[in-house]
Amino acid sequence: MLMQEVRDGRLDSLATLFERHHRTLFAFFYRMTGDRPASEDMVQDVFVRILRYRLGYREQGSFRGWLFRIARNARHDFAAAHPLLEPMADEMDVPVTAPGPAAQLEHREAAGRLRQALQLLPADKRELIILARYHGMSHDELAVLMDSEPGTIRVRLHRAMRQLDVIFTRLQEPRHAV
Amino acid sequence: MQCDDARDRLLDPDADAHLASCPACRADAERLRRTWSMLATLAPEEADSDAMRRRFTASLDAQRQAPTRRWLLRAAALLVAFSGGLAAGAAWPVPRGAEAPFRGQGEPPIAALRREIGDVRALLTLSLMQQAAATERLHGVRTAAQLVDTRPEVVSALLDALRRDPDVNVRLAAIRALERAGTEPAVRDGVVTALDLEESPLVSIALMDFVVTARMPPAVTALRRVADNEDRDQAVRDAAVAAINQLIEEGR
Repeated sequence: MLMQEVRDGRLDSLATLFERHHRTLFAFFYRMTGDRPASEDMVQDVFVRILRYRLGYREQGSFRGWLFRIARNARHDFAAAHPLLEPMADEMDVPVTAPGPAAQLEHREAAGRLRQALQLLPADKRELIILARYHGMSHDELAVLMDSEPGTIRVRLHRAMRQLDVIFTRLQEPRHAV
Repeated sequence: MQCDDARDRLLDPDADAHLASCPACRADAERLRRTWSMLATLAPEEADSDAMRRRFTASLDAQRQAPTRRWLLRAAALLVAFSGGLAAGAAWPVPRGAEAPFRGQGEPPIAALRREIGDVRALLTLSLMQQAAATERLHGVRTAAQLVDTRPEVVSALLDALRRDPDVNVRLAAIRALERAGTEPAVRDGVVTALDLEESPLVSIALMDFVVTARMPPAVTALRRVADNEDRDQAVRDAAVAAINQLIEEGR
């Protein structure tokens, strides 16, 4: 296990961990904040924290869970230190997968509104959706990560999705058209 | 399953039996599942892996070389203690017999104490410049600028910061700190090399100010390369032309 090697003082293994996980972490932070420099800073912060807390790593838990626990703390601290940091949903890239130009435009606009809706959600709900949808975390994993119960996570995730859907629907009404 | 139970399970397969018999919940679930599916089509922003890897590597190197924070605190405490001793020594005449331990090789006690303070400050500076956090490295570079004499190891660390530090503010501070050693060949060579390698327009222009102020005609060749490089920022290229003209003018 690479993390055990890091814990035992072999710092070169941290470089391998960086190569494996920095993109995932960046994607998480960027989806949470919409801010590239801030997301890069937080990725850096996570690896500094891994070094700092390496002696506290225990093998029995999943490494991914431990990594995301650190990432959540890093984001929480960053948000506390930068309260004015606003998500910039409109600047994010929107992929085009629909076939014709009209359908492409429609899809692009809808995707832009969905990103905007995601950024308008409270941070805890946005985080839950991002971890479940983009990082494939199960209710059990999320429960461990958030010190909760799988049943509670399921209810919270559904309520977050409902709220997202309400915001998304409202953004699609004519007066909100992009 | 009743509607109330299904409400928080609409994304889960175990609600399907209820959905088959309840049109209202089914419509609700279809909308929610459509949104859930659509989320997957939002591509993530590409990470700038090279930039992050550079920062990470610099941070890891610093960690390998850095002394512990406790050591830094000890050095800082020592510095304060020495400073206090220096102030007391300046104000309070030392008895003749007490001078001997400070004298070293015939050095006056105050001079010896000053030298010791300089040594500790230089060590503290070098340690700060190896820290992971940009703010601490910046503090280190600024402390270096306050050193009374320009020590080779500090100059070398400043040139290293200028060449490699990922933070623009640290590189800018390094240029300012190097100004006092602007006549040293190693500094001049380092600045000319940095002119070619520097990517930040702000730091590039600060380097050009440096070569003009330090009157470095040999930098003209590097400046020409910058001025001719179409990949460089236009403001940087214009500044390079202005710096060349100024150096040529002063050389006449």
